[in-house]
Amino acid sequence: MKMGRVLVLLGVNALVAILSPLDAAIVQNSQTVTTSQKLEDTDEKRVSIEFSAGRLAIRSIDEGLLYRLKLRYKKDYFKPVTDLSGNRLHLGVERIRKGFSGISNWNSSGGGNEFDLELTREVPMDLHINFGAGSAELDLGGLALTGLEFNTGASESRIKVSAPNREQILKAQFNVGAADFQLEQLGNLNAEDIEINAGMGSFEISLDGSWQRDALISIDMGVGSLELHVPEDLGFQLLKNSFLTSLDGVRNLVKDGNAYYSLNWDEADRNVTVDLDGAVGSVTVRLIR
Amino acid sequence: MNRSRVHIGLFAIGFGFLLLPLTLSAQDRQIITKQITIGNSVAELSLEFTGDGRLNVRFDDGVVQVDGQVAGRIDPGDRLEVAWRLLLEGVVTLEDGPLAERLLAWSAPEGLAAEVDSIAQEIEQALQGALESVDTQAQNEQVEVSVSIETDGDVVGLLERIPEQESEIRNRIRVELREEIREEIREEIREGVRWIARSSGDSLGVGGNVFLGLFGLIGNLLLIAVLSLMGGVLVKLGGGHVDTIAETAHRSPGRSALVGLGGTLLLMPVWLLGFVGLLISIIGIPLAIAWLPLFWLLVSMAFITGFVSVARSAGEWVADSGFRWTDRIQKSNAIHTVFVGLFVLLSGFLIADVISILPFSGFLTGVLILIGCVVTVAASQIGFGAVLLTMAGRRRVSRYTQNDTGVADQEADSPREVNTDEDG
Repeated sequence: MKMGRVLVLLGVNALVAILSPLDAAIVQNSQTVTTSQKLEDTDEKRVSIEFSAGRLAIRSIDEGLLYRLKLRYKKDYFKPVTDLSGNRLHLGVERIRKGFSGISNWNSSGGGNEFDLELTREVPMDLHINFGAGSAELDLGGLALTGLEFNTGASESRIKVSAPNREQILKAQFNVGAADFQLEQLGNLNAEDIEINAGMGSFEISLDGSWQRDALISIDMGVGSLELHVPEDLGFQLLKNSFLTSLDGVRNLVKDGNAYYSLNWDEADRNVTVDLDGAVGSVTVRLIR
Repeated sequence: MNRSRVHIGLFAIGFGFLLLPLTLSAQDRQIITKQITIGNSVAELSLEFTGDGRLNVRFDDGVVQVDGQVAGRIDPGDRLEVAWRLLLEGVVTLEDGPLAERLLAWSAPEGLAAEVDSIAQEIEQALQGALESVDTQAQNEQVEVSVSIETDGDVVGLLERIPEQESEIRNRIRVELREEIREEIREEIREGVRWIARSSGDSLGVGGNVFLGLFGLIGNLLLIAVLSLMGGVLVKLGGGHVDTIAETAHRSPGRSALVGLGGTLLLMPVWLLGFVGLLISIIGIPLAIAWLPLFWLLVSMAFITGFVSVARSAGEWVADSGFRWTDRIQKSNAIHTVFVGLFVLLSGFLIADVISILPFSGFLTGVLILIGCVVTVAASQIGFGAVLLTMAGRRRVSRYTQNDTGVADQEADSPREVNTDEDG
């Protein structure tokens, strides 16, 4: 089932790539919207972001604004959505016309769709991001996140948490179809339960950052390679339940059945367990200082 | 005396306190939402203030709107529009005070045409009204309370002007609505005509049918020519292999069709399993990447080879049929036989193209196209099956024949001699 979904995504990606040259004429119809909303209160908000394809960037802002969004899109295919109703903030683009042309040129010379969002650090937020395809560069450092869900289809996504989260997340979820996916400084996310569902591609997860509590990271991977970067001072446990997955870099870990422990597991201040359920691919564990 | 001074002082303080909230609330007015839209034809500024105040100035393809009302029309790219776009680009990163300051400081370029200049003035007034009201509104509110009693005439004058403005606004809305509705109807009609032109050749009349029919006919003839050339090349290069495939398709069409159908159904699983199998081994990963397109390339080649082989068989069958005109077909010439075979296999489409030129021939054309599709799919499946059975022509297929007693005997196909010089 998962495999089928991944293949469909791959197919769509390939089709989009093939169709991209046809799109040059439509680039002329791109439109840029810059919008900002003044910060009026600090009540918790549910923030949902929808962006079908292009270049997505999210980072924090500290200028008395709730958000500032710079959006470039093809006006023939999309219309911008900026809606703040009560404690729900919805930002994105809504499709008004079918066809691949509207989404197919994100990788052509700078003329593609762009979604550049800055979010306040002052407001606690439950952040939901739905991103179809393209490239994503997210720095969630400094935001006050109470929840996080990131869904992407076929993309090259890099999510960094450059500074500790000001709030605590009970569960963070990353659903990735076919992607080149990087997750950096995960410790700063301040989440105790992190779920990563990955279909196909290359996945790199760095467990550096400041861990406030023990955490469980569940990774469900279809086909691909997974690289785990583990700080030496972090208590680390890998539970591997996989079908055809090779495992490298575990010389410094102690094996116990399907589990691999770091030598400092009992003494470490914080322990992180990675529960890996993979079908086909390779897993590499690298210890970092 | 002192007492009365104290009273006056207290009254002044009290009055001051009464005015304080009014003044503060006015000064608190802030820009809460800013939206700037810049596109090829659009340059728009939207502001929302505390207390539901709004400002919207939009240049859209030459039409200038202020707060939703058309202020006038300019030529796209006019100096006023250029200046407006420069202003918007300059304030994209500004908020609050600096934003208001920059917008208030803006003035339209000098020397504009009278009509454009009036639009510019309207924009400037709208900016002033929306942004300066933060301070002036408070003063006006205070002044209005005291002055309105003394200057009754002004208030009456103001009230008298309201119906005039209302009627002006009504007229403007009526004109705009009429324009919009007209434009929408025009666009609907244009879209309808386009749709009809796209979806139905019949509606274009006999001339359109002739054009479409001839276009289809030429396309199919070109396809036959290209496939014939490919067939000729395949026979020349593949020689005996193509012969073996053609022979298998000719002798065992049912079996070939079944194998072809089964093979077609198994294409996707084989492709996936091959990919996963290669992915498991580290050395196989680069091969797995190549496998994805290569597999379909090979499948396409197999289908084309099979189809051409079936066409060759069909061509040879026509050559052997004994009709007068078939004498001219050179069986030894692969291009000849493949061309004739393709002509036969695709005859449904060719006749459909010719028939479609005639008026009211939609049904017959449809039937012929259906026949063409069935024949093409059957030939493809038989050809593909024959390619699989013979392992691309490298293996001769044993066949079963029934002898006179009804017992099935296995009979190995004898290798067929290929004599390209048969007919000179």
